[in-house]
Amino acid sequence: MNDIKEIKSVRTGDKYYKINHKSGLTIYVYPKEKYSSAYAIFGTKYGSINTTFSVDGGEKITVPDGIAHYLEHKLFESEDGDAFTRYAKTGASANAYTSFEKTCYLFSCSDNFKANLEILLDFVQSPYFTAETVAKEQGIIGQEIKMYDDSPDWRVMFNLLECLYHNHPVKIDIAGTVETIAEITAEKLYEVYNTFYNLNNMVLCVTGNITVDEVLEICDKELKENKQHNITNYFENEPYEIVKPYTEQKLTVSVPLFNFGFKEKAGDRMLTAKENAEIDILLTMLFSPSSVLYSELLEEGLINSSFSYEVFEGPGYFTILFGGESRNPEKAAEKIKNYISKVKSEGLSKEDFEASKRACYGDSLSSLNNIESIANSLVSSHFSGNEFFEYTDALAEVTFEDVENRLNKILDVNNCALSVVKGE
Amino acid sequence: MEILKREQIGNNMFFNTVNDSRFKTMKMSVSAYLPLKKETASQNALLCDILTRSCKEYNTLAILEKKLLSLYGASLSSYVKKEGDLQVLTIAVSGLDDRYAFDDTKISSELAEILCKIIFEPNVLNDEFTQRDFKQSLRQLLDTIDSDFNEKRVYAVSRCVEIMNANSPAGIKRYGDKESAEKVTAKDLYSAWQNLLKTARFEIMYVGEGDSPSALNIFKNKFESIERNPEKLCTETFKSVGNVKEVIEEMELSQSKLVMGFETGVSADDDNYYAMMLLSAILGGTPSAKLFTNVREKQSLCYYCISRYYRRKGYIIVESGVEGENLEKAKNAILNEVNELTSGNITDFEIESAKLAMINGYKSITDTVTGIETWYLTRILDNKVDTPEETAKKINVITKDQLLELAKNIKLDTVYMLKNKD
Repeated sequence: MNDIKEIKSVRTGDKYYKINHKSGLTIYVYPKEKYSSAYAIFGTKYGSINTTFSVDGGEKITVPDGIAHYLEHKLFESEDGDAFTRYAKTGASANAYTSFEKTCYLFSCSDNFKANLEILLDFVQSPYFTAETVAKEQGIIGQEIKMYDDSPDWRVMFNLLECLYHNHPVKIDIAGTVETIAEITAEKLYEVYNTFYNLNNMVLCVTGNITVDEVLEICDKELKENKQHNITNYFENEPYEIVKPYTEQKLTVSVPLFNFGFKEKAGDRMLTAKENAEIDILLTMLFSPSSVLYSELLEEGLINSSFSYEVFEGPGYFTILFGGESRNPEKAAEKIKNYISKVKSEGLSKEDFEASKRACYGDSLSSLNNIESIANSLVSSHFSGNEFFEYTDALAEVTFEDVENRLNKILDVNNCALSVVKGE
Repeated sequence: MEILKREQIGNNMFFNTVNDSRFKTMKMSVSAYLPLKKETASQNALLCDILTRSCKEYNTLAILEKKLLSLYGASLSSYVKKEGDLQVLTIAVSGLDDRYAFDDTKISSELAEILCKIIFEPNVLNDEFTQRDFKQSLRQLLDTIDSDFNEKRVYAVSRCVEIMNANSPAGIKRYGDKESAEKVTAKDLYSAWQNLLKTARFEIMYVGEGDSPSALNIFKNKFESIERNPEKLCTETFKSVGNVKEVIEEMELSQSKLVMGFETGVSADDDNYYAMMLLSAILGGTPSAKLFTNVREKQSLCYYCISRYYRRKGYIIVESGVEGENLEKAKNAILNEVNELTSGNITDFEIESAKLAMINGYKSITDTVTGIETWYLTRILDNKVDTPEETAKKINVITKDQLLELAKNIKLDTVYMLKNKD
């Protein structure tokens, strides 16, 4: 039997259903009344960082960098044609992406929802790899890699990750390199497929103009029970300290850009909803456009409106990251460091805390407008072990003292690095 | 839901409302539509930025941002777009709907007031914007112009558009150029703003729950005191001049870019444009399109190869990223697919799948606030403003004969290659 639980947000009246499907798959259904379209995403907890693993205590296996992403490309092909051709008959807009810790297949549609869900569940569960089909993809992915090699935003981030991480595979490009993808074979693809595309390691999230019954009708038909197996992912021990404080790359750019990151202690679990809420409120207080620092950086011509900050977190890595364009990135980074030291010794403002808390609450509710963003957040929450609505509830509970305590645990000015991309 | 209510509030000024209670946020924007001119493009872009830095009441960016933060993290943004031969400046506020405030803050009316203050009570002293804001806006604009060069895909397309439209306003960059930006003074800028209030066409757009009548009245009253003299707005359909233009530029890159521009003879003024949109989708708008299937999947030449129809001007742009040594091969592969299209080799499957994909896209537009806003802000220039649903219906009834007839009009105009230096 399928176990169905209704989860409701007290604050907004929104609700979703969490279903432990008899096949082993966890399914989330978040109906949105009066919407014209539906969005579905089928994901596995398997991304670019999962390159060394074992199954049920067996032999430790290491696979080439970029294989998760390569698999994503190849899964669209089956023995009797590709998924895009099938979607072409239903009109869905389909896509997929691979990130550091997950691979997701998705579609959005305004008609033929059930047929589309059937295609999605079917092709992701029907691998078909041969030497020829694998070889054909080398050129396509090779060009994808080269496109990213020219992307200053992409390069500046990976260069930073190399400054921060000694061993963690988060520093390796998601698509691998032209050399590593040359080592990928059909056998290796089947090996990672059979390990990570087990329904117990996966999640399905559906949002929009759909009902639980519609989703389950297709799931009951398409999903066969998967025997749960135990996957162990291995990551080499990662020291707290960074590798080096600065790196620079020359690319053909007119305005230099930077990423500046603080390496944080990554525990053996992901941040809880409450910890996320504390950090988001803190970062809004310290770095949003209403902050003292932002004004000063702007007045001194050290940043422009592209300045941003984010929490960059996954299994075994956790960084607070700043980015933007700057004609003087070193000075901008120095100023950010001095400001953090100053705030740590002088304390935070209660008034800023109250306003930032409201702002984070406003942001979290705004994201509930969009069926794509809801579905993607459901996937992330599921894989990090949190319940989606917990974050909004946690925001309301966070106290000024919580945020003060959090500040003392993060943003170590002696453990950060700067990556710059500038013109010749 | 999602039906546009349109009210004229002055000479070439309209207040548009889409009353939709599904969303947890509201968005309100003011857009000025102007002829795109080399002399004024950068100045207008500066205006769009400087107005959002402060106003009389909130006289620094920090104060203004603090106010927005206290309104549940509301946002104030500005953007400059190019629509055919026109430049469109938009200033928008968006924030949480009042229903979700946990006190009695009237977020939407406060935001509407802030937007009015930004437009009608700018931070001006002795007929000049403040030097502080002016310096920031100028620096931001110069950085923005430069950053378009940073992303080579964006840069390559903009170069092709520039070459194709060398003698038309559509060839001017939406932000103008650095040289003219650097000539503007804070004083010029304020008189340009006063002039713009008289000459631009204004479209105010509100998407959210309710009708926002208070905002409508404020705008109506404020604009009443301005003597309006709107400029004529028009876009000429793109026409090829002379032979095919082929331009190659070299740069230190990993991947070379190939962009090709095609004349279609059909623009938004012509009812045939729906069929031209469909033709472009058949060529390279979906994963079952000719370009994706053949240039990418069969020949493995690239990761992306897409076509886009610019309906306001009436041209098609095809873009791809390839190995430097494959530029010619890719060009020929693309031309081959275009040839298939123009000589009528289009299957029923290609037509049906492109139709389904487009209709699916149109029907989803109304599920986001920004989707609705963007749709109407561009459609407002059409002779008749279609809803996305109406457009979907028009796409659905296009016949194969119509397509075959129209496809003959597609002609290569420009080939632009951004080649990696060996």
